[in-house]
Amino acid sequence: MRRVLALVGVRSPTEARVFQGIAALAVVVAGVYWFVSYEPAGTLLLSGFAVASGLIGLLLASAGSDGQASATGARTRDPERPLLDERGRIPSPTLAPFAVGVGAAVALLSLVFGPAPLLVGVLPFAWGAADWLRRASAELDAQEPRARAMTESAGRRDTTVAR
Amino acid sequence: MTTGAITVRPVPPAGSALVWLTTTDHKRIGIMYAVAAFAFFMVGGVLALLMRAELAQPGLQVMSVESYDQSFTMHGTIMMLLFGTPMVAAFANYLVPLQVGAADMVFPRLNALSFWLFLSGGIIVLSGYLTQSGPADVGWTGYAPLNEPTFSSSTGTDLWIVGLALTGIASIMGAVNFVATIFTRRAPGMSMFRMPMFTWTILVTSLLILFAFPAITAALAMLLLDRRFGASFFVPTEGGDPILWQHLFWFFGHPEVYILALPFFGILSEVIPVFSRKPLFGYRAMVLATILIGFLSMSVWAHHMFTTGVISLPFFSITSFLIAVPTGIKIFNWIATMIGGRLTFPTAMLFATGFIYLFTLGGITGVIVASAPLDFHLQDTYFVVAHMHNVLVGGSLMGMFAGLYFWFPKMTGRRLGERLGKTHFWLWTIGFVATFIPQYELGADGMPRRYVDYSPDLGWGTLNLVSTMGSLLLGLGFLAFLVNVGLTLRRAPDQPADPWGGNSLEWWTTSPPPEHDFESLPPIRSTRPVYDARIAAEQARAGPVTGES
Repeated sequence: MRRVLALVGVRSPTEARVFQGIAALAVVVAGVYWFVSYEPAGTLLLSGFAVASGLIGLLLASAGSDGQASATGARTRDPERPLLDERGRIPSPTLAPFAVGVGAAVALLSLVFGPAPLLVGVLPFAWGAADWLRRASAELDAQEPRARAMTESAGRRDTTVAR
Repeated sequence: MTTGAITVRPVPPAGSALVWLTTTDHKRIGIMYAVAAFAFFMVGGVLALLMRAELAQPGLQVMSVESYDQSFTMHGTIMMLLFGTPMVAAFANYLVPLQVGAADMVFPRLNALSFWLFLSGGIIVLSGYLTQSGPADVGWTGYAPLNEPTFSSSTGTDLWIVGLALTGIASIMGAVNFVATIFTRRAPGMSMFRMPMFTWTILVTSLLILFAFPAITAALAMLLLDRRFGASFFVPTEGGDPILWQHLFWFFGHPEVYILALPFFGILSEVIPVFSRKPLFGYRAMVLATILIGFLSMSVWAHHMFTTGVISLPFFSITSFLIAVPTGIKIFNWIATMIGGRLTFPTAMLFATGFIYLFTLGGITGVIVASAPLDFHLQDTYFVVAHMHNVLVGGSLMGMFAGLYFWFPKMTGRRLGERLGKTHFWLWTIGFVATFIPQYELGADGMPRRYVDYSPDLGWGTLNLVSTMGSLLLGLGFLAFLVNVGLTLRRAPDQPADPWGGNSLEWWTTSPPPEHDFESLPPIRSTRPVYDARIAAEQARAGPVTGES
């Protein structure tokens, strides 16, 4: 029941309610627009806006997030708790985003100048993407045992409170 | 952090270019956005001065017809998409994690990628100047069928399309990051309705980007297919529809105006309470007004298309008029915040109050052009140019400078000089009035935009000359700002964590903040946690309160 109420916005967190409200308004505006104009392009754009907002609202509501879920999976419902432990979350300096960005931009120039820029751009892009994935995987691997420990510790604390 | 558990990142030596190339720190990325945006701004500003020099008197003196077309195209593109939008990203990058009490954005590497894509896209747009045919010449709106190869065959236009598509993708990535950061990285106690107004405006702006930018990115992809691969989405002779371009462009283009306005509303909502020594009047009404403005901006796009004859005039007129209501709420709330406050007027506050006057004027003229019968007369005249610049220069740029003077001590540990700051403000304000108020009269008299010349018999020479003189004052004002920044950066950092007596969390940490933003956080029990902590500290220093004897 709580889940259904959350999905329709009654018990949703603020984030979800914002999107659900926008979606509801967009549906109304798209409907009014269609009946005053019978113009398909604008109606489609407004309907797309409504559908996208609604989907995000439903996703947020079904996740049941209060916006405080940490990257490690622990939740902080207690507003007075200290800030989440962000150990391992912040990445080290890396050239990967620079290489991916510049590589992608150079590669896209092939749409204007033919295949040569594609050959030049793909190398930094591939190196950057590989380095990015490698580092992200290493960070996730390092984080997992810690996340598990935090979740277990949070579970023990909840049980104590329930008693 | 109170947990003391942040990993200190191994950073390359300070001053090395590698620091900036490899950074994933939101503060450095914010500064990079600002520096890149101001570099583009200077290019766009020089183009504006050249165009004004050309229009100062009838006849062709400075530019050819072709270079004028290219100049107004590049000026509009640069100012809207390579300066305005990235300046929003600059402020948002620097401030949002600090204001919500986070150590960084939720996706730091994606954040860096957004910046590099934006910078690459901007350079590609400008690289049209290196081609034989010159840069794009289709206007920043790139209307079909003028954007088709029959009318604009230059390589510069193709580069414009690719570059803008890249900056669009960068903006979408950035918006995802801001929304996710605001939703998932808020410090405990920082509920949605305790977030600073600036963060609220960035949230709504990011949603606008998420909904609006895909339309223009798709339209640019369709245009490139038309131009290079034989498609015909917008070619009327081959079954395409030029009006579809206008729908897609303005479905992005009008929200873009609010993407460039809402964050600066947020900046005003931070600056005015601090220098009025009062809480923001009507916080929840301001939040609601922000959401309503964002929503309504998605349903007014075709008021730019009144004269096409294929859209519903009453629908778009009414929705456009409606935007004045939440905007009015904001303006009245800023004024109500100031009423009864202990007002001080450092440069940041001067720019904030200047914003209220000039933006209100821009808003009122917006209501005029939202009226279809009047718009039929004013469409594509200098009245529209004056209105747009009134909103974006008199509004957004004034708000941007208010924010820069306000947060410069936080970003650099140094405070911008007040004397040069006030010189900047007065040159900018007088320059603005002299440049754009005459353009309203010129527009009402029928002077069309995007024309390189006008007949001396029309009597527009004097007003155009005044407008050109005003633009020189704007240029001088910006020069005063640059000198101020240069002189200030030569001094050693000397600013405390909270030089103004601020309210939100960024004023809790050192100026500039450490790599991981905070060493500790105050309890967050209202929209003004730093003010609360300051009052609690003052009460603690005053000693325990004794009861009545």
